[in-house]
Amino acid sequence: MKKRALTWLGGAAIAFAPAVSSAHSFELFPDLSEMSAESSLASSPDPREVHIKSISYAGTGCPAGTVANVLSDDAKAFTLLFDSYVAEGGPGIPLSAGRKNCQIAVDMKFPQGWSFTIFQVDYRGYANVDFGAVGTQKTSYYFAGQPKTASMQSNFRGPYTNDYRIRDSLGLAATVWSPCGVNRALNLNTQVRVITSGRQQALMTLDSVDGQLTHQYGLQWQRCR
Amino acid sequence: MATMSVIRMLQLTLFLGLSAQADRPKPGEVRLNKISYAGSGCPLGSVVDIISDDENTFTLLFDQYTVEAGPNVEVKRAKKECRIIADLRIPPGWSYTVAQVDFRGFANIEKGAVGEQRSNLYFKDRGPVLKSEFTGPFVNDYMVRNSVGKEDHPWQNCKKPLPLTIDTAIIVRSGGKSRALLTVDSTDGRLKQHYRLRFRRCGKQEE
Repeated sequence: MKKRALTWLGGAAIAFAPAVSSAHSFELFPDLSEMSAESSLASSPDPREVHIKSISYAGTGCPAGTVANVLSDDAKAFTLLFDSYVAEGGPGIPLSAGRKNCQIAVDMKFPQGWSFTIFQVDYRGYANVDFGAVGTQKTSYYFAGQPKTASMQSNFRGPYTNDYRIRDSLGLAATVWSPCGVNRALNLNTQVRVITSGRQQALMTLDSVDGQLTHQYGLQWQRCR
Repeated sequence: MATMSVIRMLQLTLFLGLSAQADRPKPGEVRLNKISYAGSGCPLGSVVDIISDDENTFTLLFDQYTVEAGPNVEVKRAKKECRIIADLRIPPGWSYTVAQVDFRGFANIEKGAVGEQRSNLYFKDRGPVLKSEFTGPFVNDYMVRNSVGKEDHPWQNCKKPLPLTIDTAIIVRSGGKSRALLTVDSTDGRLKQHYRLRFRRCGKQEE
C-alpha cells in the first residue's frame, strides 16, 4: 500500500511526495539509526535520543484524505489536524455517528541503554452537550504487540458548550539492551463519543492532536556489539 | 463557562529485553515479509499497515471496520469481514507458528441486541474459530487476545511454507427497537521469535 511521505532532506528542507490515494502516514529518511553521533546537521534528530521515525493513522474519525500532518525538524514533535473528526448523537442519528476514533501509531526510536521519556499529548476540540447527555474524549495507549493498555478519559456532562483542551502526560521507561536501538510503535487510539437518550442532542469534535517527546538522558550505556 | 482544561498523567513501561534461548533461529532471521488484506471491513485504501523495524510485530489500523444494526439501518451493515494474510520469511530448516493476535475496538450494544467478534488463525486447514460475544447493554472499548493453544499450534509445513491467514469478522444482531454498534479499530500480531512465535526444527519424524 502506498503512503504519503514527508521526506527529510539533510535537515534543510521538507517536501511532500506526490499525493497518493490512501494516505495516512509520513516518514523520515534516511534511517537515523545509521547516522553518526558526530553529525553536524544542527536540526537533525540526535540518534542518541529518543525520536519519532514515522507516524501512521487511520480510523472512522480520520479516513484517508481528511488529515493534515506536520512532523518537526528534530523529529520530537508532531501535529495532526482533522477535517471530519466529529461525533454526534440525537433523535434519528445512527449509533455509528456517536463514536469516532483515530488510532495514531507513533514509531519511536529508543536509544540503547536506560532511558526515560516524557511524551506529552494535547487534544483540542469542541463540545456541545445537552442536559442529561454525556460526551467523552478518551485515549488508549499501548505498545504494538503488547496487551497492556492504559487509558485516559474525560467526560463532559451537559449542559456544556465550549472548547476544550486536554493534556495527557505519559512517562515512558525503556530498558533496551539488545539489539542496539530498538523501535516499537506506541499506539494512541483516540476517540470522541456521545451518549444521548430521548430528545437530547450532543456533539463532540477533536480538532487537533499535538505530541511532544522530552528525553531524559540515560544513566547507563552499553556498547553495541 | 470557562474552557475545559484537563491534565491527565500515566506511565508506561517499555521492556524489550531479548532472552537468549538456544535451538531457535537467531534474532532477525524470522521476519514479516508483507501483510495483505481484503474484505468488506477492509476495502482498499481504508487500512494502514505497520510492520515494526525488527519485523516481528505488525499493526493494522482500520477506517471502516464498523458494523451496525437497528431500525432504519440496512441489513447488509450488520456483518463485515476482513481476511489478513501475513507472509513470513523464515530460515530454511525451521517451521513456526503464531500464538497471539490482539483485536481492539469499541462496542455499543443496547439491551436486546448482541455483538460478536470472530477470528481464525491458520496456515492450511482452518483451526477453531475464536469468538467473543457482547450482550447488551454494553458500552465500552474492548481488547480481545486470540491465542492458539499449545496443542492447536498450526505448525507450518517444513517442505511447503504457507503464509499465515487470519480470518476476522464482526456481526451485530438486534431485535425490535434496539440498536447495536461494533468496531474493530486495530489488529496487532506478534511473532514468537521473541515472544509468541514458536519454532521447532524440521526433523526426520516429519515427512
